[in-house]
Amino acid sequence: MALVLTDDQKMLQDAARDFIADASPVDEFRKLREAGKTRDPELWRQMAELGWSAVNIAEKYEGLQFGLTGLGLIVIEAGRHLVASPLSSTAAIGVSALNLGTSEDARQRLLPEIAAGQTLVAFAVDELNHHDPQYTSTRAKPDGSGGYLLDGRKVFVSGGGHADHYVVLARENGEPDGDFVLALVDAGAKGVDKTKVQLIDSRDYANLDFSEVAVSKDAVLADGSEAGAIVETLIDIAAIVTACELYGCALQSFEDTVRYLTERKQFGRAIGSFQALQHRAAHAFCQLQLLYSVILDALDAAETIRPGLALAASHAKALANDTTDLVTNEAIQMHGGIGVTDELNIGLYLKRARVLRNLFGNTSYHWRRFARLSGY
Amino acid sequence: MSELDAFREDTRQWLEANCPESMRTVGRREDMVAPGRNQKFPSDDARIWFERMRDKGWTCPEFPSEYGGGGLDAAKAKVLRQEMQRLKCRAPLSDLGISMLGPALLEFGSEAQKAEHIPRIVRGEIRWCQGYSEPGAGSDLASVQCRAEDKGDHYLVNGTKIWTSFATESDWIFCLVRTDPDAPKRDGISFLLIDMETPGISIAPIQLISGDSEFCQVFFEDVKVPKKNMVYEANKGWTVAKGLLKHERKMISELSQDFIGGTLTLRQAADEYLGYDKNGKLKEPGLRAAITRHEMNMRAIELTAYRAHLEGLAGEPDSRIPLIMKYVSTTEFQVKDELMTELLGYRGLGWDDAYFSEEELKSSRSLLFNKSLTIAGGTNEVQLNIIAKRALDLPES
Ligand SMILES: Cc1cc2nc3c(=O)[nH]c(=O)nc-3n(C[C@H](O)[C@H](O)[C@H](O)COP(=O)(O)OP(=O)(O)OC[C@H]3O[C@@H](n4cnc5c(N)ncnc54)[C@H](O)[C@@H]3O)c2cc1C
Repeated sequence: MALVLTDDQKMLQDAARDFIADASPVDEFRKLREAGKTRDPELWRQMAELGWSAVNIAEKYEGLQFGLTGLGLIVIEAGRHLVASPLSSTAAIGVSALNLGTSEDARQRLLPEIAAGQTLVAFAVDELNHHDPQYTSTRAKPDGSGGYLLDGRKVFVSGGGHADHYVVLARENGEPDGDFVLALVDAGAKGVDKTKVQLIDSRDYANLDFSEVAVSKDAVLADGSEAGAIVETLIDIAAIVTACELYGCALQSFEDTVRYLTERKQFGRAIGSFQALQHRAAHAFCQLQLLYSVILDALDAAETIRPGLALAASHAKALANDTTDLVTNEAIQMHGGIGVTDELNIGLYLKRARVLRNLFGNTSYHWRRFARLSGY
Repeated sequence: MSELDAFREDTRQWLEANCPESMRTVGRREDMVAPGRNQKFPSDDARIWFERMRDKGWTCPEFPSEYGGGGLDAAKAKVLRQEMQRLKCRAPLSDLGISMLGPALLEFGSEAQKAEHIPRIVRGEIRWCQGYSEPGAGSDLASVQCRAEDKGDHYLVNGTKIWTSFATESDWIFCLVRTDPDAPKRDGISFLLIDMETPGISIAPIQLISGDSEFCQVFFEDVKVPKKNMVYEANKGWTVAKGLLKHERKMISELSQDFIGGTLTLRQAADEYLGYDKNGKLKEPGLRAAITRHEMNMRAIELTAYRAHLEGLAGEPDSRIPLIMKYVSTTEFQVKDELMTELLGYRGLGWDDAYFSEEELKSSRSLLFNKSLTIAGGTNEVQLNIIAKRALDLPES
C-alpha cells in the first residue's frame, strides 16, 4: 500500500518533524546565510546521530536499510524548514549511486563512513545551463587496466563545495553516443579544480574542472553497456528526492499563506474572506493534494526500482516544479508588499524552489521525457 | 490465500463465465442500461448481463444484502470494480437510485422506506430523477420555493423543478420542498419522494447545446404526496440533501472517461489525425505538451483517488480529499474534450452523420455535453467555496 504510510514511516516522519522544527527552523538557515556559510556541520552530526545519513544504506554497510520513502519524508520536512544539509546530495543521491553501482569495493569503503556522517558526496552531472544528461561530454578515457582518465567540466554541482567525493557522469572517450561512465572521484585528487558558485538560494554549489584525473577500476561505479540503465535510475531517484524538497517548500509556504489570510485585515475584514483569494487558495490546495499522491507513488517506485520508475519520476518532478511555481508565486502575491521583503520566509521558499526547479530537469524537460516514455 | 484474494479469484471466474462478450467493450451513453417500469434494453446481451448481476445483488454491490444488495465491504467492492475494469465489463445498470438516492436512504431513511425502495433500486424496477434545482435556486440551493403543505394525511405540493435530467423517463422523483416558509431557509426544507404518476405533475423537455434533451422542467400542481414519503424528519431535509450531494459529487468525479468522452483515446486520435515527425514526436509541439500535461493531471487524479481509497481502508480517511475530487476531475475531463477537438480538427466539429464517423460525432457531442460537468451537482465555483471553508477554514465571504 504504497500511497499510505506504514506505522514505521509515520514514526520517522513525526520524529523528523519534531527534530527539524526544534533544531533547524528557518532562523538557523538565516543565521548561516548571514555568516556567509552554506552548511552547519554540527547539525549534520546530529542528523547522523538520528540515523538520517544511514536511512538508505543496507545493514551490512552499517545502515538502517529503511528505504527511500522514509528518506523522502525527511527531505519533505527539511524542505519545509529550508534545512541546509547534505541530506539530498549525500544521504539520498550519493548513497544511491553507490547502491546502484557495480563497485563493491566503493560500497565497503564509503557507505559506513557516510552512515556515520563523516563523509559527504556530491553528484556532478550537469555541464550546461539546463539539466539534460544527453549532453554529457566529459571524457572518460580508458586507462587500459579497467580505470579511466577524466577530462571535462561540471557546473552548479549541488553540495560540490563541501563534498569529499564526487560521483561524476562522463562518456567513454567523450563521444556523443559513447557509453556513460559513472566515476567516483576524490575531491582532493590531482587534476580536480573547484570554484564555488553562489545562487539565489544561498546553498552550496561548485563548478568542477577535471584534467587527466585518474579513476581506478574500483572507483568505476558504472561503465559499458549497463551504465545507461544505472545512470537513468540514479537520475530518476535524484529527481524524485528533489521533488520531495520542492513539495516541502510549497507546503510550508502554502500553510504560512493560509494563516496570513486569516490574520491580515483590510476593509474591516480578514483578507481570507475575499472570494478571489479563497478560490485561488482552494485551487492551490487541490494541486498540493494531487502532487502528494504523485510523490508517494514516485518514492515507492524509487524504493522498489519497479518498471515505470522513469515515468513516475518525470511526472513527480514536472508536477512538483509546476505546483511549486504556482504556490510560491501565489504566496508572495497574497502577502502583498511584505511578501517581497527579505524579512518574510515566503521569499526564501521561492528562491530555494526556483533553484530546485532547475536541478535534475526543468518542467518542459520532464514533459518532453514523459511524452517520449509514453510513446508520442 | 487471503479471503480477499479468494474473493478476487471467484469474482474473476464468475465474470469470465457470466459477462457476455459484447458487454466487454466500452459502452457509449446510448448503451447505458437504465431501470424503470418501462425498462428497455439496448440488446439481449445487455438484458442477460443485467439480470445476472441483479441476481447477485451486484447492481448495487455495497448495499446491504438484507435489501437485496451485494453486501460487499469497501475492499471487496473495489476488487469487483477492478475485475470488471480488467474485463472491460460495462455497468449492468445506471441510475440515480444506485449512485445517489440509495446511499442517502440507507443513511437517513426509515426502516419502512428502505424496505420499500432499496430492493426496487437493486432490481432496477424504478428509475429515479432528482428534483433539487429550481429557476430561482441553483447554486443557492437552500432557497428552493417548491411548496409542500401539511394537509393532515398528506402533503400538497405546488411549484416547479428545473434541469431535472431524464424526468420524462423516470418513475419517481426525490425532491427538496419547502415545508416551513417562515423558518430560516435551511431549516424549512424537507426531502420528499414522489411518484411521477401522481396526478398534477407535468413535464416540459429542454434542449441542450449538444442537441440532447434529457433535461426537463417539472411542474407540480396540487400534487398529493402520502406522508410516509417524507425522508428523515420534516424541516430536516437539508441534512439529507447535503448527504446526497456528497454521493453525487463522488459519482460525477468517477465518471469513466470512456463513458463521457467516447471510446477514442487522445493517443489514438493523435495517431490517426495528427501523426508524427521523423523523430517519432507528435507533429504539433504545443499540442504534444498540452497532451502531456493532461495525462499527468489525469494520472495525479487517479493516484489521489486511489490514495483516498487506501487511506479509507487503513481507517484514516482524509475528509478533505472528497471535497476536491469533483473540481479537479471535471475540469480535467473538459481539457480532454478540448484537446480531442483540436486533434480532430474539422472532423471533430461535425453535427450530422453525413460525413462523420460515429467516433467523430461522439467527440463533438462530448465537447458540448461535458460543459455541464463543471456546473451540475455544484459548480466549480461552489466547490472552491466549499474547499476554502471546510478544508482551509477560511472565514465566510
Ligand atoms: C447536465 C445537467 C444536469 C443537471 N441535472 C439536474 C438534475 O437532475 N436535478 C437537479 O435538481 N438539478 C440538475 N442540474 C442543475 C444543477 O445542479 C445546477 O445547474 C447547478 O447547481 C447550478 O445552478 P444554476 O444553473 O442555477 O447556476 P447559478 O447558481 O445561477 O450560477 C451561475 C454562475 O454563478 C456562479 N455562482 C453562483 N453562486 C456563487 C457563489 N456563491 N460564489 C461564486 N460563484 C457563484 C456559478 O458558479 C455559475 O458560474 C443539472 C445541471 C446540468 C448542467
